[in-house]
Amino acid sequence: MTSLRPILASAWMGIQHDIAWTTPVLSVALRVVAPFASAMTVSIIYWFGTTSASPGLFNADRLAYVLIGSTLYAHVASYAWVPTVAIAEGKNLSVFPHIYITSRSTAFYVAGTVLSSFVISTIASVAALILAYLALSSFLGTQIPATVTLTSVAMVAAALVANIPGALGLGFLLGAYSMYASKFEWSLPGYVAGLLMVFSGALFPTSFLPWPISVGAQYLPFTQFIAAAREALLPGTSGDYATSMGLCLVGGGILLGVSMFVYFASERKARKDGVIDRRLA
Amino acid sequence: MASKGTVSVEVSDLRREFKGKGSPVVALDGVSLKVGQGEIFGVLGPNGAGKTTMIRILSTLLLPTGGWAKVMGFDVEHEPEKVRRVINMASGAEKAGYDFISAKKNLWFFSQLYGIPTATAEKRIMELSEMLGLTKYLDRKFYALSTGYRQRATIARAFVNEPKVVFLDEPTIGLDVMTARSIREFLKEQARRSERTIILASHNMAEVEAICDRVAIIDKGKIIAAGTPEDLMRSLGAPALVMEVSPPQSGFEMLSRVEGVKGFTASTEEERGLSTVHIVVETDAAARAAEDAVKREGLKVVASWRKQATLEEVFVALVGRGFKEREEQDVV
Repeated sequence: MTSLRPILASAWMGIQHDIAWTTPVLSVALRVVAPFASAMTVSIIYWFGTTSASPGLFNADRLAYVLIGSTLYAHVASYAWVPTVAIAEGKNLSVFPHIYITSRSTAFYVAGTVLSSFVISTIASVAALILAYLALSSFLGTQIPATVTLTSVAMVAAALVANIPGALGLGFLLGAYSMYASKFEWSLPGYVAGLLMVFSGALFPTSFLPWPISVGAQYLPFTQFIAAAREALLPGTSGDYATSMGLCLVGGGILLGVSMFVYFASERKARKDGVIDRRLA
Repeated sequence: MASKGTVSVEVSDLRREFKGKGSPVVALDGVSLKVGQGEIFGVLGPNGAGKTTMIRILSTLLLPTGGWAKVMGFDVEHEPEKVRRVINMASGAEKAGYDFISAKKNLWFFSQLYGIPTATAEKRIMELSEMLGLTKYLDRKFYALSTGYRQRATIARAFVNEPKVVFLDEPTIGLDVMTARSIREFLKEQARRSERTIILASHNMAEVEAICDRVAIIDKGKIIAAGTPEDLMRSLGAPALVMEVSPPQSGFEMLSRVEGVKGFTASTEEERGLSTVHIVVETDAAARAAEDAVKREGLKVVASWRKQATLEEVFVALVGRGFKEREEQDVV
């Protein structure tokens, strides 16, 4: 319980950071805007491109593929920012050094803030997916395929849980960087998120990528998370659900292990160089 | 530098260098000291003397490049996790806290990072707030607190885990007299009743003189004097000499050349048309020589009297004079 307290308190702090500036409802509503806009944009581009090129080219299954992938990608992208912001803001508010010298130090803090964002972005992404689905169905006048049953929803929820180690891994990896960053810390998560859009199979299968990038992308835990969740909602489009879940957990576990190692090494070097309590520009 | 009783903090030949543009910058240069349990230990020094560097090393924020330091018997370099269980720190310049939540929630958050059960934490927060006069403002958002109350909250945070050793860097900087006094009373109470060791880095001589059991004066990374405030004042021999000199002068460099003058400060009162010079002297003869040196410059000594040297005058004598000597050496 004593180890859980710092994580839960940090998760609470992360939620406060996101909602304390306004009402909880408005805060979550605003969080829905980005994944909704992302899903709408790529879906409409797909629809516009295919219907303009040839009347028979449009495929509702592909639209669903893109719609689900883009929403889940937005979910991953939103928590990629969190450790960077938590550490950078913590340094600027001078609280980070005080967190560092607590008995549990910063790893629990980073984990808690990533988890809080994970929860908020899950709510926002699910809401965005539902809204985008309804809006596109109405706007395009077409039935977008999706299997929504208790089982498929449970399978998506399980995929989200399986993605937690990967989410934490990404958090610690970017957190290791922001321990040192001075000015570019705000940009890095954006670059990483941009790369993940290409490499995570969000909009197209990773097999479309040139070898050996396609192989590396295939085994990213985020690729497997999106594949598993998509397979639950669109059976037969993204490979075997159980395999994706297994690869997501294993890949996420490996990423988390490597990231923790890098994070602690970075923390040790930051302590040696005296930058743990350095404010960021 | 020895302490009485159980040793809480022990530092031996501690050294820290930072990378400079040319040669490395030495922030700490072989500092050794021992601080006893329940002691309030002051670290005085000018800007860049190494006070904050020492506190950063002892609080595990920074690694030393030489020597070693132990807090409650744990090595700060090799056992930081154990050290963190028994310490806390606060800096007056930072007033650290999350602006978007209340002071109480800030304190609760930090208590949770130490794994303290919520009920225990809330009781402790209320006790600390009571002692620091923060109770009425606990539910205010941190950004909405005045400087003084933010500082009280910062001090409360430093005690929320009931640490055995607390490091404070300028804890009352920028505070009004009454707030600063109440914080000092709180610190004295914590050391006396709970046997907490407090290491206080400060520029504020009056504060150090008022609450510290022992003091180390640090300059250019080295401890140049240490002892109780009384010992330090006594170590300089005769009481200080105060002279009122007319017409007002901006400099009294002639005093630097008088044997037995340990240091001096001067201020000018234009309205009264005179300068007041506080001089720390070793002997009565040195006091007379200082007066003569001023007169030889054609200045009139309107009045002069003797008094007990304050810690500030001791500090100026040791650090101010030291600077001049080094500058002269650098020129040579």
